[in-house]
Amino acid sequence: MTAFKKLLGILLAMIMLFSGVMALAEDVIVSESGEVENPEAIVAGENELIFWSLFSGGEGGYMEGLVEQYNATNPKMTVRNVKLNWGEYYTKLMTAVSVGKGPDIGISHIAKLPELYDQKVVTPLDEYATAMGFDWSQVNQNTLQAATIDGKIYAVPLDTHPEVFFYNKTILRDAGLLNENDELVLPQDAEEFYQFMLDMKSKLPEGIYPLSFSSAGDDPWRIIWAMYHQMDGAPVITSDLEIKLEKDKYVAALEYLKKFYDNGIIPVNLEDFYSYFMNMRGAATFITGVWATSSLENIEGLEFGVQSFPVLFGKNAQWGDSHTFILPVKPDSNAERMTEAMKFFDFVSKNSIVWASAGHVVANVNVLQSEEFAALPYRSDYADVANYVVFFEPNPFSYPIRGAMMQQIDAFLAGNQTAEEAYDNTIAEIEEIIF
Amino acid sequence: MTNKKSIGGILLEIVSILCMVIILIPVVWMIAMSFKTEGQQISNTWQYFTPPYTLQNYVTIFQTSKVLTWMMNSLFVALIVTALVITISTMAAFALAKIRFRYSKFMYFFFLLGLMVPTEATIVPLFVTANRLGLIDTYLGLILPALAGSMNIIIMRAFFMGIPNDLIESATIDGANELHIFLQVILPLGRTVIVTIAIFTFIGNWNSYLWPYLAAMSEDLFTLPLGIPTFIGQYTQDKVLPMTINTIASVPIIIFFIVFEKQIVKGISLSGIKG
Amino acid sequence: MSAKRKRIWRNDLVALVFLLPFTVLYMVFTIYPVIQGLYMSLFKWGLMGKQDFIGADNYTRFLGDKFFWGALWNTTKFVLYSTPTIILMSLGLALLANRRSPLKRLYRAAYFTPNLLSVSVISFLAIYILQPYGMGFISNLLKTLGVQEEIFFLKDPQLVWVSIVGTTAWWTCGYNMMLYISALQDIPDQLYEAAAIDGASPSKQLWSITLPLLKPTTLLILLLQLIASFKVFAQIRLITNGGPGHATRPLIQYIYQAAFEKNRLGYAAAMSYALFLILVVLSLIQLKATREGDR
Repeated sequence: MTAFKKLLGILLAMIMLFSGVMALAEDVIVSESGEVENPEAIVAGENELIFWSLFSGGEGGYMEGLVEQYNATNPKMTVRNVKLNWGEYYTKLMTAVSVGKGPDIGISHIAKLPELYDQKVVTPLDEYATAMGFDWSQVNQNTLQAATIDGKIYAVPLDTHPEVFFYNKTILRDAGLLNENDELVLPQDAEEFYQFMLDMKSKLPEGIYPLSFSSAGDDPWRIIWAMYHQMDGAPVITSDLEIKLEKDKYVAALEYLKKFYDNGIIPVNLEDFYSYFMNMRGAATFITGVWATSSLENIEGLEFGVQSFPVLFGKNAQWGDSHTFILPVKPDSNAERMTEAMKFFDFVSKNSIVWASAGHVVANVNVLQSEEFAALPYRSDYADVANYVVFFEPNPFSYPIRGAMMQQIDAFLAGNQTAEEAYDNTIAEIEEIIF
Repeated sequence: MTNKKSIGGILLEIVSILCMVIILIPVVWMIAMSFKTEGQQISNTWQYFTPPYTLQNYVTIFQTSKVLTWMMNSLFVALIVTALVITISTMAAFALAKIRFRYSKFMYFFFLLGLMVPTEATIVPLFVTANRLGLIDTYLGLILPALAGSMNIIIMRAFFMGIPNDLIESATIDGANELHIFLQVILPLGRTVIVTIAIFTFIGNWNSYLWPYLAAMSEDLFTLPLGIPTFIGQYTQDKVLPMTINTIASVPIIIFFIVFEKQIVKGISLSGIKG
Repeated sequence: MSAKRKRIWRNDLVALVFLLPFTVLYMVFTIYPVIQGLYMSLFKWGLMGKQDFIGADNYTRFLGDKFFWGALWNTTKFVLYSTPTIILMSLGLALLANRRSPLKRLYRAAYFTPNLLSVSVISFLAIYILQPYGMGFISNLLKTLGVQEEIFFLKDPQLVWVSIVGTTAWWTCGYNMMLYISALQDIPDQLYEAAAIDGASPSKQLWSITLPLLKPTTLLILLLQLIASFKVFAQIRLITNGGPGHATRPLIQYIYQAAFEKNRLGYAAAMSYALFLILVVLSLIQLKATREGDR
């Protein structure tokens, strides 16, 4: 027994000694990490900037094209585009930066920026912008303002992307639902819109649904967001971290959306609602972000129209977010690399007509006013939606809160809880997030 | 009597085949889909499996994704981990089983403690620890934590204990030192357990998800289980390319299994008894 | 006397050399994180490092966090559903694949095959097989057979568990089946021969000889399964991502999200200790059981 105690004592001593050594190691390695150049293969070449992006599908191709165009101009440092999975992008970015392994260039949504700032993930751009003569007046000033924290600019606005309403002209024309201009006119009132869609259902051929829409994830959340703000709902959370989400309005928005599934306007539990519209025989209309425009244009035989998501509850308010370029904190970077990165941002901004082709409302005002932009079909149909977009009030928890809202909406739409429960659980989760 | 029995036998044979079909259908479907043309409309289930076939998907995958890099990474990490696990675990198990030293019981107990520490429960501090050591996003970071489990040592020690001491003593009389004994007596006699553990370490690491998911940041360092979801995330509309990459990831390990089938079957029973 | 002392020292030294490589790794990557985790759990700790000392706050907080309990309950549900399913299916497959049959080896290999696939692969297969509206394999098959009704495998709160447990069982049964097969082969043929002479039917033999003799193996599989199931994460994350809502989010995913999506590493470390406690208790039971089994 005493031998056992002795052994236990030795064990404890070993662990303590060991912990001490590890604690020492912490300081040494952290202080050195600024200079140490890791020889591993992941480190970008001397003349290469690593760019982590979250774009997929159609828009991913356009960004890839912009990168190739830039590299073709023989810049001092070329850009290498690494496409990450959208669902994992921020987790990956933040963990990577926290361990000093982040990329040279990143993308941030404007709503996410305060969190990245709060977690010390982003570098201010002012110095490098000045160094290469970046003209800040060329970008959308509202987004730029949102990208400015404590007097410093942390991001270059690239676009605004609202959620819009697409429709299949062929199907609707056959059903006699288009007007003389071959356009769909949506009623701008909640009850009328609902009746309109019900009516559409009765006019469509058997097996075609009026609306293709997801019942989980981002998209339902986005239109709940839009409708809640159309009711003039208070901010979900203020910059002072006060939860202001209004129960009656939020519940009303949730229940309104649910009616569309319950009455066969939207097929329930559709996993892949893009395909369901794109295959031209699943549904007549489709709600999602503007980035789908380019994919739709590439579908042979699809004749479609697009307009803004209707104003159903009085006030024009829309969901939207903005992509921005950021410089993640990187211990082994330097002013030269960052200035080169700014050159890339400048190039993309000036050439963002390509990005507009993907469907986005670009942030570069010169491009937005150009004839080329005006000549693009569809884009002008929704370009002014960007003016009605409601963002989160800047706060470091927007994205986790968005995630919580989405999860509770999912559970509500799947029939696992009532709208009131969804509201209560959302509040409980937000409280858990901001403690 | 015999007649009745054979009817029962035929019935059981049919059930066995049915189970086999149900279990294998997903795998066969996956492989069949990888040869289909993109965008083909499937109107009935049979069409998943019938021609036309194409190899275009494989060309596309190898051209547009880093699947070869991921596969090499998976292979590299799994092989290195396997080699190192075998080396350090046999050494430690040998010391515990056959060298008479003070604290040998204590060390055994100390390693037993490790069986109770699952990576899943210490993933957060492990990440912080690995980060301090500068291991995040390096091959070493993928490899080293995979070597630290004590299960293998416990199994090997039990096996080595069964090697008769007479053999060791006679070797000692012939003037062999511990290194010789280890290399010339223990390793040859422990072949079965070593090969078994090697196979399981390999399969386990080829498929490991949670730790690489946290520890690999750059695409060049991804292993297959990480790369596949990243790649598939970009294709929501068609199953053909995702199924091709799934097939590419699965076929090597299935071939590996066919080659080592006997060892694996034997190995599982071994780990079951001693585990 | 001194020669003996010298030999003891020498042995200690040799043992040290042999043990050192593993012991160092074991200390750094297995033992140290446990201590580090305990330390972290006493702090508000972000991705960028230590912030404030808050004592036991993280612990009291998760004890009152209903999402923690929800996640723990989900994990428990998974354990409760999957363990019996997997044991019964493995046993069934083992009995089928251990009969005298010309296709014996083929059966074994086929039943074991899913076990070889990576978790990413089996998860995507599950999603693709279960998709509704004619897009998934099952839905398509039903349509081909003329059934028009849609089944929402991943949305219905009950069916989603059936889907996850079914996928896991399909994926992992092969391993346990092999354990059963090796136990079946250890049963001496004489027992069956004697029973046959006594006129016992095959089904009687199954109930009175085979199943009782498989009891230790079943106990072993039960414990291994319990431990493995409490760690469930990857396939649920990839198949449902914890949804619909939080209906299937397991504890490890909640811990993971707290740490890497909400930047609360200290809180996550504290919650890990709840899981740790459960796993330690189960491991102790397992150790005790296997030791008794050895006797």
